[in-house]
Amino acid sequence: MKVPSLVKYSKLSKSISGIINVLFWVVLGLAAASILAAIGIGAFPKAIDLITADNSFSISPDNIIRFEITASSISDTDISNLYSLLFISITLLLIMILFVLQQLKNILKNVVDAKPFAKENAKSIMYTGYIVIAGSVIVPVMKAFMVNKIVHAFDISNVNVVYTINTEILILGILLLLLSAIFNYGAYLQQEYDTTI
Amino acid sequence: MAIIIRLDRVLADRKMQLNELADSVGISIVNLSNLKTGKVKAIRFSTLNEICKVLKCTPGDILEYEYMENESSQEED
Repeated sequence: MKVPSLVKYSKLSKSISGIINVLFWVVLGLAAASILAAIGIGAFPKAIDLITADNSFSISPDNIIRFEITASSISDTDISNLYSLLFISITLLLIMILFVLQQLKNILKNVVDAKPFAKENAKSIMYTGYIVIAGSVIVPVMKAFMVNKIVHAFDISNVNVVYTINTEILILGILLLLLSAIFNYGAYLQQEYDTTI
Repeated sequence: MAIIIRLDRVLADRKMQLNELADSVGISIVNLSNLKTGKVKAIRFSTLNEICKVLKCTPGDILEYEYMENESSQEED
């Protein structure tokens, strides 16, 4: 039987690892900027004028329908709280993404080192699974909370905020947990193989 | 484990160094050293075959079984 080689995949993993490394720092920068923005808006409500230069406001919670709120309807509404909340939500989301990227970095490092079936990889996949499952619940909650706040702040009538968990992401998270169990068994087999001469 | 590796004894009889055996058998000295000190879980027939061929001995000369009273049939990690 031909022994499968990891060399080809090692090169690919190196490239992906590089991209993820860059992405990790970009997301970290964005998270830091988001925290600063949330604090900044809380401390200096007037700074909001810089963000909403034309004083209009638009939201698209589902990326399909975009609500445009005109300047006249928000002229007497303080939207600094909304922006503060938005940036806090973004920070939370970015922290979750950072965690997943860190796990991906760990996995790819082991793959580059030609140790794909390491116990650490099984653990990293498990942590990613848990965070993805948590994300499938937390992200819709954050979105619904945000939209609810916006709807109340602008007194928009005939709008109901519906909350549903993200089933696709939930299934993905469960599959990741299953994959982690497979990798755990793989790590056990690898250890057995390594201790056989 | 009740299986004892007698590789050092056979090597001494043949006046052979571990690295010489490693070169002849074609496995790393680290693995062979692990075998000598009983750190490995299993040995392949092919490896045992090569060791016996080089040392001109039988598996019984290298491996020895010693009865132990309180030993489970399947050792856990």
